[in-house]
Amino acid sequence: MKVIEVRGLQKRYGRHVAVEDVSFSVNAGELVALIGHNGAGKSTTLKALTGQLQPSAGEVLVAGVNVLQDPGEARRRFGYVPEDPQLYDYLTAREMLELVVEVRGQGDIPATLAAVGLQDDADRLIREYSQGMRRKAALAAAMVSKPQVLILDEALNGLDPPSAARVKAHLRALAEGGAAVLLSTHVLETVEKIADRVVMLARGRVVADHSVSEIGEEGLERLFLSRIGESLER
Amino acid sequence: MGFLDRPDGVIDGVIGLGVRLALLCNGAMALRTYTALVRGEERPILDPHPADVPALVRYLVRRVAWEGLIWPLGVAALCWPLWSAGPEIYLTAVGLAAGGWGAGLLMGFPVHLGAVWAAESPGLAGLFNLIRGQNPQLQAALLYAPGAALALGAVGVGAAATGARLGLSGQSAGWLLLLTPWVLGAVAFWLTPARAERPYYRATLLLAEVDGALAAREDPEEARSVYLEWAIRFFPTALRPYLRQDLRHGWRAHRGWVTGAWGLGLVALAPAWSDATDAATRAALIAGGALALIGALGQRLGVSDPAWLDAWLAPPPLPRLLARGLTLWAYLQGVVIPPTLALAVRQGGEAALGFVLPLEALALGLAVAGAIAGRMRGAGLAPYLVVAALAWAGLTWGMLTGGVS
Repeated sequence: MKVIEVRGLQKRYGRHVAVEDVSFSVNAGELVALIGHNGAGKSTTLKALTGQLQPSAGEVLVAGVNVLQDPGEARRRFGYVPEDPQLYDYLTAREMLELVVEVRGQGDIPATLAAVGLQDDADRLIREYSQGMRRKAALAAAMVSKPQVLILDEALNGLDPPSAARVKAHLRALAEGGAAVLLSTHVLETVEKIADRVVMLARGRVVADHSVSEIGEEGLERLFLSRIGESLER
Repeated sequence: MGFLDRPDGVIDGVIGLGVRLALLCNGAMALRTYTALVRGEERPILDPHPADVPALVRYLVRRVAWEGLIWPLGVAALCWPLWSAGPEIYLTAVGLAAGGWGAGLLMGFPVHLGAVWAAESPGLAGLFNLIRGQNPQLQAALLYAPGAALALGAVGVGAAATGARLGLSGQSAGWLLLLTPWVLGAVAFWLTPARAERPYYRATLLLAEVDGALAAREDPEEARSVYLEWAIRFFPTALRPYLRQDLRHGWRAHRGWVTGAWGLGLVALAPAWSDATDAATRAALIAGGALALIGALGQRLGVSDPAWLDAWLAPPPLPRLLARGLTLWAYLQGVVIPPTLALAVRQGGEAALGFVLPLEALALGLAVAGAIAGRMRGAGLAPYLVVAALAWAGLTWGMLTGGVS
């Protein structure tokens, strides 16, 4: 069942085209990686998917809800970590999660803190956190209510290796539990380890959409370099 | 509060004061509501999550009211001397101001949410395109929204002022009209929370469009162009590198001073645009002060000069100082040109010449002083200010006594 649907998405800023005719979908229980070079349009696509950006054309649906027509309902169905997550600096991570649980109506705070490796620092103010810890707190805020859809923009950047491994395992578990996870990243190793499918963007267009098992370990880097290299040379 | 000394002017005086304070409070609250609802720092934090928007709006009203309570309390303290003219005088001023505050608070929310709708309304696109200035069209409605809230609040304040006048004249029913801003605000706000969800979320999209449009407008060629750089070719080759460096430094690091010179020049233009015999003197006093102020840019340039690089490369001191002085003098022309042209048009070339010569002499002196002050870096400001103040005083004395011009 398609839980995320992007159809003919286009975003223009004046003459600059950020994304052009981007279409893909993510099924329930699937973890899809969105990869591409810097400026390929990954963040623009995710912002349009989460109602942070008005598409110039096209349609985005999350769990069957049109994000632009029913933004409140769409937000109830997805958790989102933006590229530059903003948090209440004067709350602790636990208080921040309590706020999110209050807003979303459900959530398991201790389990989520453990999943991102923040349980020992949960009662410190967020303003005292390092960049990586802030990202963990943002991840926890997105995941705490176990949304149907999880959308993560470079969310694993800056995590220490044990935390990154823990978060990857948790994301995998969420997908196996039926959630749809869309993760943008530059790290091909992450894609190979946890993603079911990869959607590749270059210069604002989808240049590949393959199952990771079809590509194989050696093939992902080769595919990335060939498709994106071709697109950038054009 | 001089009206307190004139018994027949107390009513007019207190109402005039109350209306001004009311509009001030109204404007302040209209801006505060904009920050809380539209451009606040909480929007990016809350945006990924669903929100109970009606509850959020009601909470924001309470919070903005609490945070903005300083305005009516401040007015109540400020107006305390009115108590001596009678409690009703004091309460009139405070009541009017409180009404403006309440109207700004309660009308600000619906007006700002309405502005989001208006910004996206195809029927209003033409109007906003006409009045947007250099801003993206979608931003126009947001820019004018605080003004609209102020205008709507002013309607309520006007009615309240009329009521206060009637009340102070003995018609006690008039006092009821003091409640008008509150009633209008309450009605406007009562309609708001239930209709807030869509515009609240749409505001995120609108702000992203506005920011994107502004970013897309950044023209690299325009960013590279430097004020007056074209003029470098008219100077000797030995001076050109230093002139180019100073013009780029001044424009890129201290643009506000350069444009500020023209702004102050326009201020000096106002008294110069006259047939009065003392027009040149009044314009010269303003322009002289402006020259003294803008000349301090020399010291600012010195502070932001790359000290280590200068020490390492050791550029020849004379061309360097000359270039800095010329740059400052060129910047100071923004102050001199507008009033000179105004005088030339209104009073002829001779009057303009009599005006421009002493001002140019002052500009030249201040440019040299500023360039030298820049060499002294942080220690240069105080001596520059002393020299500039003396020079301005000299010009003022000369103009007033007829010794100059």
